[in-house]
Amino acid sequence: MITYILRRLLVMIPLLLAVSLLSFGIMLIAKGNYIDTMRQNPQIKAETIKQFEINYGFKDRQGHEVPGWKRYLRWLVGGQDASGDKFVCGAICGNLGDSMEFHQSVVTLMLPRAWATFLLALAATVIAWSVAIPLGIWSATKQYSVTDMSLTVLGFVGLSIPSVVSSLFFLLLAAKSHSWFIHFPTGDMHRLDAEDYGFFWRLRDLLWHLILPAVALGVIAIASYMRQMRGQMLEVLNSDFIRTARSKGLSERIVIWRHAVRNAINPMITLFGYSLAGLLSGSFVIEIVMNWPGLAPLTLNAILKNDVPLVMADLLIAALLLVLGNLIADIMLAWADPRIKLA
Amino acid sequence: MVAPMIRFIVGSAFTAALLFSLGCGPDGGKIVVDHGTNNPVPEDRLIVDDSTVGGGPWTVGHYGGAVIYPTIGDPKSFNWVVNNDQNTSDVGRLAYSDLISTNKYTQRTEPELAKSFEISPDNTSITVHLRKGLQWSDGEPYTMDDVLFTWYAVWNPHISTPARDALSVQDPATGEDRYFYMEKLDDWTLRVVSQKPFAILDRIFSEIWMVPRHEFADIAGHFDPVKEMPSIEQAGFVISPATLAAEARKSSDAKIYWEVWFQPELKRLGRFVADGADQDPANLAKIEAYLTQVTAWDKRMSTWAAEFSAGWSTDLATTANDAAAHFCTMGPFRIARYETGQYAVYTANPFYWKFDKTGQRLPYLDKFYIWTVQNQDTMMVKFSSGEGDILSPVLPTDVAALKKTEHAVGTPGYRLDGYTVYEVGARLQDNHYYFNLNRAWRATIKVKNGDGKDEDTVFYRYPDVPSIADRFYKDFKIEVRDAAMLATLHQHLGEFKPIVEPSKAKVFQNVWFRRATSSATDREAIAQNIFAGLAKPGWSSIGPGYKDWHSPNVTKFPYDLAKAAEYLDRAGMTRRGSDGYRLTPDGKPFSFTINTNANNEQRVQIATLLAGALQKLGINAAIQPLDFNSLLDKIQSSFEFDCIILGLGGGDVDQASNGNVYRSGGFTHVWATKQPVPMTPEEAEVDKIFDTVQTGATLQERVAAMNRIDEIFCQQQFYIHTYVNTLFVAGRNDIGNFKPALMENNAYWNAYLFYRGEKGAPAGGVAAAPGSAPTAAAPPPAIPVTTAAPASSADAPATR
Repeated sequence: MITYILRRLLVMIPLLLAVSLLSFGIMLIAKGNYIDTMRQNPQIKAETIKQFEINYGFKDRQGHEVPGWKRYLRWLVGGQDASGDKFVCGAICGNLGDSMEFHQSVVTLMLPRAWATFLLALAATVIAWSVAIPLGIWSATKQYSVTDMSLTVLGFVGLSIPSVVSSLFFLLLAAKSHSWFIHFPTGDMHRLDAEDYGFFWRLRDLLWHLILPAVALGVIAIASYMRQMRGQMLEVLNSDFIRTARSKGLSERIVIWRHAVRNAINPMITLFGYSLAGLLSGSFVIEIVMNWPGLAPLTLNAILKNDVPLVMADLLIAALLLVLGNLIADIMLAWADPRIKLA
Repeated sequence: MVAPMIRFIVGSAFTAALLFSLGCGPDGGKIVVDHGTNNPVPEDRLIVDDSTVGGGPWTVGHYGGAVIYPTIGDPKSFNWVVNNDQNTSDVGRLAYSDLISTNKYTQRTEPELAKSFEISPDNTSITVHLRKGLQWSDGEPYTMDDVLFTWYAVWNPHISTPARDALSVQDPATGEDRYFYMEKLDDWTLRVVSQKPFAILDRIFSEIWMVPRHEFADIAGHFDPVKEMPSIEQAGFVISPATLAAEARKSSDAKIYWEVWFQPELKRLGRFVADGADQDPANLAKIEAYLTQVTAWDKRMSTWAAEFSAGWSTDLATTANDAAAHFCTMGPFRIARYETGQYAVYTANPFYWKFDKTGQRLPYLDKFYIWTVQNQDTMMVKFSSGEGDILSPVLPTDVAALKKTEHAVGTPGYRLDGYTVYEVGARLQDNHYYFNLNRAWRATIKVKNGDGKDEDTVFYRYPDVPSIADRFYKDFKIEVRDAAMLATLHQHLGEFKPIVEPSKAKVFQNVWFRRATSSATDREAIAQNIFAGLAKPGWSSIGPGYKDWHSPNVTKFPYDLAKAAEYLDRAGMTRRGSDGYRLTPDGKPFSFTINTNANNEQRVQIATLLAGALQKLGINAAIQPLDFNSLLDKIQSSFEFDCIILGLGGGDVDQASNGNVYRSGGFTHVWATKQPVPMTPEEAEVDKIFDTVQTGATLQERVAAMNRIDEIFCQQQFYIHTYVNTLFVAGRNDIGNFKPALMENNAYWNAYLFYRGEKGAPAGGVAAAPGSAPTAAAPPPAIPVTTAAPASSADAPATR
């Protein structure tokens, strides 16, 4: 097991390198750089722009253009610090650099926002799975009944609603709610004056702010998980050992929960692994529309401004999560299903 | 039992996550509100009344309350020196303070941290007297050291800051920027010296906000850039102005060091000699030796710069205790806490040095919140739900909707105190399009660089400008004089290609063609249809929002297709091709592309409107919206465009600082950038007149000169202006002294005078506070909107 995990982790290294190379390359091909937006400002003089280009590493002190591959190496391996005395290690040592715009380490910048995103995604996952799995099972046991049909229709509706629409719907709901008795918040994680209150009030406040974005995000996933679960269940329910179990005279409850569900859940675990990868990136649209202070607004802004270190860090972390998510899914699968052995 | 187990794991992880997030949430000290009523009253305090702060009448308020301001985007850093984006400036205007500031309402300067100032009669120096007895928000005394620290932080070449751009003047003769330098006259007096006359030496201090020396004292191993500068006294050399200029020209760092750091010291020591008198080898060796010392010092400067740039980053204010420990200001509010991506809280500065007439220390408000939202729609939602107190700007499309519920009192328990939508006036932004009038030919040629290596270099020449037809240039206007290089260039003469295709260029350069397209621009339709009647036709670069500078009577080319056709005939485009389109005067087919940024819906609509009108005249114009970066690439590096629709804003109201736009050699002279000599007689005339704008003795004289330039521009239609946006701002009725202005930041430039009225304040006016004069009688600062505007689908005007 441990050798397996180690092997998987080793494979990650060339993968992450390739991801970083690709993203850096795309950022290079994209027109313009971080400094360009300042050029159009008549108040900023050419001299200053030159100074910017040097200080941000687009040009060296002699004023020559630094080629893209050198900038990539500087980011990856590291280079001299500002005064040229010390060698500063780059991304290979885990130093993802400083944001050009925020003048602070991208890691400290991303942590609180990644946290908000993670919280939202986790809440959405909990909502999605706790609704989708029972519904899928229910729908499978009542195959072709009215319940099944209406759940299928609802499932397809849910599948076909884009996240931007569902988030706008919930934002509108929040805005409208201000003329009702309930007042849903229109975004953010806390009320502005949250620091004046006690712990449990803040917990309630956080949950209250979390509900709408989490539901908006969860609703999208429910449909697909439910359909998946239904399909798996049907396949298992039609197999011979279920007929055997029934003919032994086991109660329907035991047949469904002990025999069918346990066998049908395996592919869902794989799916769960993939959904881990989406935790930090899946809520992109919803965060922006519903004003959730997660990674999405930061990343979008970084891409628009060509803030390379920040974009790179974001993409790397997304790639890392995808790989780790898959690994975790595989491990969970081995743990849940005695037939699977990892070696 | 796998499913329940997974559910258990996920569930407990979720609960743990929630608890953890609260643990690192808003905890770490409570925010303390202190109006400093027991703190010492400074000797040179500023008493705010209608004579000291323009834009009044101001009413006397009372302590308490908060204002919540939703705005798009996060502050990138609280360090204004390294970040000049909108959000950081918003913080600066709230929490920081400058020596002399521009009153956003009157658009003229007023002394702030300076008690008074005098500009020398020849406009070459300004003497500033500091206020005495002031304290930082943490109680530390404010002294000359802080001013010098700020000045030299801005002037560290390793710090990337646009702030220093206001601190130089363009030499009209050479087009070169000459930096100002600062002299300390005594502990409370300083002088800033300009190398060339510059009429607005008082305006340069605007938004050079003070940085506390004591908070940055320990960075880079307690390195003090000023005190540890290599001693010129010991180096013992003399220097002539010519040598200094030559040294300064060596690199951009050297220029800053020689002009700003060394020059005042050299002057103080009396080391300047006549040109040529410093050329003996002993003296030159001394200069060399000195520069070696400078190199070592420069290394430490760069470490210092890196640590300074990283200082005052937003993560230092995530808890109230941290914010109190790391941030102190001279402004009306201090940074109390920043919640990542959500909001920043500012509380009253207990040591603020402005007082009202009754002797109360300002500001009145307890707290001011700047609330981060993602887009204009959320901003509107926050305001109309009663969560936000100010909406600035209100989109043209939202004005009608907001007007409907104006003055309405909201649901009980919600702070819907009623609000007013103010029409503040014409925005200080110019929207226009222009044709590419660039006459340069260019070629990329391999030449040996300084290290002897072959390097691709771009060279320019101007074969159709007779006076300079046989010369070669680098970067458009730096003439190549090196004989060997000239020989190489002559060999490659055939490789030079015009930037704009010649037959097309001839059409663009014809003034009648530009007048024709100007006449084909239906400005009324733009204002009425695209902006729902909430914009006005634009006729010149300096719109009606510029209180002192606007000239209403410029030459206009109103919409008239018959006239436009006549102008096209005058431009020589009388013949038509087989497809019905007009041909160029020399009989070639003619068409051009209009570029604009795709994310600005209105500009694309303007392009469509214009192309349609030109179609009727027999001109074939295609529209190509681009993403903003590609558009900038065309304007700034490739210069390959025909016609671009864009806007320009963000400059100072005073036009003297806009030399880059008006002078023919300027980079932002976008239709034909960086000209080595003026390409047209009109541009030559503008160059000459602009000297008066920059150096004239009185405002009247300078405005008159600027109006002449404006008229030349309008006759020539270098810029073809389209519209001016109207600025709308909405605010709650119980915010006292709310007076939106045209200059940034429009809604709360005078936040230190804001106060909240009584609960349930009557709608439709500033609530009467105890002891204040009723404000209903006074005319409102801006005219509230009286007509409901028709709804339209126009979107946010992008302001970039």
